[in-house]
Amino acid sequence: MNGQFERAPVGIIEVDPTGTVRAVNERADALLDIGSAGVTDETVGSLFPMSVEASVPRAFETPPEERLSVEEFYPDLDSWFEVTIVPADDSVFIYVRDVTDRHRLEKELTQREADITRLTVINELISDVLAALVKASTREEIAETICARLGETELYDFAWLGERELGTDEIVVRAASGTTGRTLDSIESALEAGEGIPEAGVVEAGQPEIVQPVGANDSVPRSVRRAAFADGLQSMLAVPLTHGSTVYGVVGLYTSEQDAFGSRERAGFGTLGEMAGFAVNATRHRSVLLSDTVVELRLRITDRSDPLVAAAAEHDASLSVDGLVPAAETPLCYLTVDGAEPGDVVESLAAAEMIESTRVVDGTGGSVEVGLGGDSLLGRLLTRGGTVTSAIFDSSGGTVTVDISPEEDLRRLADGVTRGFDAEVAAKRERDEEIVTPQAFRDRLDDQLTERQESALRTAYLADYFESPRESTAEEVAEALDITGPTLLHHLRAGQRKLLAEFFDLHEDHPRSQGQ
Amino acid sequence: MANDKTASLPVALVVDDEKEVADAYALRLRGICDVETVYDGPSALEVISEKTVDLTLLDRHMPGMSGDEVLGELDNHGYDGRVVMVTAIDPGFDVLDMPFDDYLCKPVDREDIREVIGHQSTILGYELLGEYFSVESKRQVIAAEVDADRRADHGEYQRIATRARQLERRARRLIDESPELLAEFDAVDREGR
Repeated sequence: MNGQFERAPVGIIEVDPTGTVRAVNERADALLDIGSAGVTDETVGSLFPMSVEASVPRAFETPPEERLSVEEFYPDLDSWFEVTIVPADDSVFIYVRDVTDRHRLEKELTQREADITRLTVINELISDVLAALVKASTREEIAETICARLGETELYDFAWLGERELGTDEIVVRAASGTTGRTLDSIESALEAGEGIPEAGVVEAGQPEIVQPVGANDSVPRSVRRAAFADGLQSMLAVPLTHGSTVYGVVGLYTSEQDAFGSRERAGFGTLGEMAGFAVNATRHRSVLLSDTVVELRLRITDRSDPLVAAAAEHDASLSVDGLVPAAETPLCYLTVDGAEPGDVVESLAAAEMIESTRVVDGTGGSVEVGLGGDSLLGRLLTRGGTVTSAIFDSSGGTVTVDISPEEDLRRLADGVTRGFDAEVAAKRERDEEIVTPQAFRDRLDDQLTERQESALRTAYLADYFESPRESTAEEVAEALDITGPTLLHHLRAGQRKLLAEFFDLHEDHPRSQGQ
Repeated sequence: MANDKTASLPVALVVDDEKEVADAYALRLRGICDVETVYDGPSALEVISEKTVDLTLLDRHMPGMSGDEVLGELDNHGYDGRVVMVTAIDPGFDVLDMPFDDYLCKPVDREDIREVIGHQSTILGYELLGEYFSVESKRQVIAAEVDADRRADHGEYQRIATRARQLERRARRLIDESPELLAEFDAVDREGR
């Protein structure tokens, strides 16, 4: 080999057609880590490092006649070489170039492209779930929608959704989708055994959590880790379903991908959890409006730290709640006092904590108005989504019946009461709510209004008496009906009272709905 | 690639989507196995259905068809060899109720891979040897009852004889002690009883 070849920037090995080495240049020596002394007369097969394909030794099984170019990986040198074998006259030249950097760069590029594709797919998935959430009208549908969309993609192996069991701290599996394998079984067993799993922690903390690798993380019970390892699951993301400070549940997302979840996934799925929480919250309101079944709770309270319990006991009186106005900042409660002077009861209540205001509405009828603080028993029930249907307090304590939609957080309501007071849930039942059609409402009202009351209301309404400002005065309407002004006002008020009583659904035997 | 020198070695299949990793494993197994190397799940299944593979070293996390998916398909391809999973983490579990026979954690060093493969070869070898003894006993019983010239037409006999030959060949390549064990087995005079 002449000097030019010797110092060429490419590895060159000159061999005879049978593969016996004649010369090796500097570059080839360095690239192939030969340690050049005494390599001539060896076969190229023993000189060349090993590769799986072993293309170079195989090229010399018979004397090569054609030019051959291959790219191979040489594990012992951790390098990729482009090897070109060129037969010429009575010699064969083997050219060797190191192409490791190009291979590593290509690999990195492929990885980046895969990352980008993955992020795009995740974003599409998330907006897909969000779109589907809009159409979900019940809590079950929301749970199933989320699990189905997340669990059945290529990206993730399975998803499950857990919620707190009513009245307990236990998490139960509400929905699951995908290849749940042994892992979901072991999650259920761990939940039943009361072992802490990351998903339960997320329900407490209200923040998404990434656990990877699942098989080697101490926050996961050993049985779940074992199952996850057997199922080949590597990464887990737990996302809470939150609305404000309320956590409605948790989604556990499992995948066999290594390090599948980063800050971007955490943020993206965190938003998904918030939207799902928002959707759950919306269905709660919708369900109160539309649901035809309600859960009725009867609570017993003897704790005199509640002002109404205390007042009834102090005066040995019966206080029955006629109605509540929950919308105001301080809920207003209308009570009928029986067995004591309303003025005395009001006086005691006025001095009590948790009472914001008091007023005697009707001294002889025993009617009083009380502004309740949010911490009082009834205040707590109202702020937690309950509808108080009856409440009676007497010397032995109080009995309160409260309706709540089946999808409402019953546990939160019950806890809110029992944590504040010595009180207990005496009974719980589900019942069908009577659905009143507009026609039935009209028919019922019709039965109650006298002919005169109805014609007074109709005439006043059509004469724009109820507009503001009035288009017709009371005198004008009275004249049209050929009655006196005071008579008209009497009929109007009686009619309005019946209309409102029917609308607010007060019982017919209720003092306020009685009278002409 | 296989020549006479490697024909008597256990047949190992290395499956890893990263060529650099797969090739390194393959070279580490040189001398103790006749190694086939593939870089994706479908190719692995193709090899399995074409030849008798004793040991599969399977990367768990491959794009497309994962190691677990390949594992699930092996049964359908009549695979009766051992499977060693190569995983990214080491949770330190025993493999008693795992769907594979053993696992190695990346990065896998030369000694571990040879040891695990050697260990699995031995286990499989004894399994197959046990099966051989049972099949060969049956063959000998039939051989004693059926005249030599009628055996060629005896379907059951032919099936058992073929199976016994396969098992013996595999047991021999898997465990070093097989010649002695086979000799002891042959020394028992069953037909005389």
